[in-house]
Amino acid sequence: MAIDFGRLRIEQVIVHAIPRAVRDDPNPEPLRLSEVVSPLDDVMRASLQSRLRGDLYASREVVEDPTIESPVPKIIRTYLSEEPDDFVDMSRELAQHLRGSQNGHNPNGMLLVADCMLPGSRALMIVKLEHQDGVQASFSNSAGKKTFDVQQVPDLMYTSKSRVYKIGFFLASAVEGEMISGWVTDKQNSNGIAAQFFLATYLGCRPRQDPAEVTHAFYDKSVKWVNAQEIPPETKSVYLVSLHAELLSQSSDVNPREFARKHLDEEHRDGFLNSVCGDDIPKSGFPKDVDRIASRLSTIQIAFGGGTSVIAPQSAFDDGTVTMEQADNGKSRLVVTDDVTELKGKAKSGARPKKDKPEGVAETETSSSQSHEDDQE
Amino acid sequence: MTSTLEAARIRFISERDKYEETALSVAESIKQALREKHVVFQVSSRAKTVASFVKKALAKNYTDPWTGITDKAGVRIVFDMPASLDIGLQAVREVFPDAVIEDDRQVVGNEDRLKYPKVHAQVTLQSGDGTEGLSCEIQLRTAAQDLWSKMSHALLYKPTAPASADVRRSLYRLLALVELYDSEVERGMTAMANNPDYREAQLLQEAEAVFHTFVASDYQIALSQEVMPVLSRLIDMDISTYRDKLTTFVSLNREKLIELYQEYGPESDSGKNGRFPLAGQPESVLIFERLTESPELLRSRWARDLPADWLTEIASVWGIDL
Repeated sequence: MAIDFGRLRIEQVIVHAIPRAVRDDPNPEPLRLSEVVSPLDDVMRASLQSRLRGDLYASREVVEDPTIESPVPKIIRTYLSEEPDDFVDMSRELAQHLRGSQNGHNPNGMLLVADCMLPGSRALMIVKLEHQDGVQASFSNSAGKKTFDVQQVPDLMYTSKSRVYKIGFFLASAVEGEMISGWVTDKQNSNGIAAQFFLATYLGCRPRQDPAEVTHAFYDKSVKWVNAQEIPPETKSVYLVSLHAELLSQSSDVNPREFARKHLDEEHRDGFLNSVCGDDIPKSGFPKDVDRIASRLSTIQIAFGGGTSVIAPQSAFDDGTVTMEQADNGKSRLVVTDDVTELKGKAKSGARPKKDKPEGVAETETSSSQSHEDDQE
Repeated sequence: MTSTLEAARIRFISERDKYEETALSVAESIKQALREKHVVFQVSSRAKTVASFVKKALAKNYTDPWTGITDKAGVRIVFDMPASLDIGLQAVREVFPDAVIEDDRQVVGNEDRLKYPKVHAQVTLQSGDGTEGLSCEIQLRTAAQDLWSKMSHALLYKPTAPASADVRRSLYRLLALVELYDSEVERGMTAMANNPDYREAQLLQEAEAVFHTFVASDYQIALSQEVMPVLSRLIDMDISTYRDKLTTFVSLNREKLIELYQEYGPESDSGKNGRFPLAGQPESVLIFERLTESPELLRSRWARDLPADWLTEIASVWGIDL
């Protein structure tokens, strides 16, 4: 479901402090819980709102996972289903459960709970921030001389460069029967994918989409987009090789926006993201699972207008054994620089079963020459 | 026995209403086509008066006045500058593919004469009932040509008393000025269109027209002058096309823009405290449009010339994280 977070309006906020607690510590530092909402003038509201609007842009959809034992979904569901007269109590419950969800590795933090509105629906936002300190320099006078008064500022919550926080956002209109659904982002993770303790243990949710499905859809749509572009075949091959490399990398996530910024020409990035990403494929990232496309990622096939088709392993493009370039006559030239190990006749696809080709050797269906020119697709 | 002219006069009286309708219909079709071409124009239409029909037939001494007089229905299109005449002819051809064009502008041999350069199209509006369609003459002129033409018709072609040699000479001298005026307008417009500062100013003017429907405050022109070169290079389409795009964008996002300028604009508490300075600028409208249309291109081009923080802040307000 596409949401325009640019219309998010914060109605009221409350903040609680969640000190670090080692598991099974009989005397943990107590929570510091607010008893009333925080005063919020229009300047502060606008500032906080703008930060959170931007942050939520990178969020991804989540749904309640009934297999997880967390009281948070029920707290959210009850609050969003009823008249909002128990905001403070509800937020204190959320804070207490956050302490219970954290392990000893989680540092001191703050929990900001915001009662929000989007056009047509109430919403609840839960923001977990890590405690920060800072140094403030104030211009002042000392013994009649101008100077900066430098002081330590404790309890900084939201600095302009702060990336240490996680957000859960839930709309009343997105409560689906007995199940809640919403959006989660984690600014600590460059791809916005929430830490397991926040998403699952605390919020009791899981990603709406199956990572294998999303990865599969991302690959299919990306390949389709590359082939649909009216760009030189050499550029197409670079894009496709980059896509394979991205999906074969050690990274556990895929970030389409970062992929576009890193590998695509700037004038192609918006077209790519608009075409490939949407509700089902978040621009800002998703966990990677290549199980369903693993076999397709190991090779790249290039079909030429004259009927020639070349299949080469991804590694041959990566190490430069196979390259594609533009010939002087405007056609494309595929160059294979390697030892020829075998030449043989080959039946057309479907005529009889294919034999496996040797690893690392490019295979052509109609020609074994090392250079081939043909019309651009 | 009734003369040919008398028969034509009687027929025109009985059919004049149809010619009036034909002229109106042709004018409407042309207007619609020209609106899509984004040119400045005025269209008028008329059926010839019966008296004018008879006078022309007598003056031209047609063997067959009915066939000879081709402007029984007439449409006139007046453009603000000469380059638009070609766009006008293109629109006529698109609406009436069988139009017969008469274009005297490039006729060789008239260099030593001051002559009104005729640009006409003869079109036929097909009837819906299978009867023969009615013909209509379309005249295309610049505003200067139109001014001269009206005057010359009053004094030279349809005078109740013949014009003196002095008056005739004056009119032809004025025709030289018309030609000069049009060519100078064309030269000036071409020079301005190629000047990046002019394009930036035009775009800012478009943004301002939208901005002031939401905000009743002045803005910092110095900040606009820093930002507009980047936006102008990003908006790679002619101003009139972009104006349409901006109109559509505003219409789709009106409520959001109202809320945004109320909370972040120059009259908001944040604005009065010096926060979100770009939200107090007319170019913010263009930034929001670009953020919606092509955020990645905006981000990369912006970063080359302007502080990235400026864009990050205004983008967050719009609900986009760059």
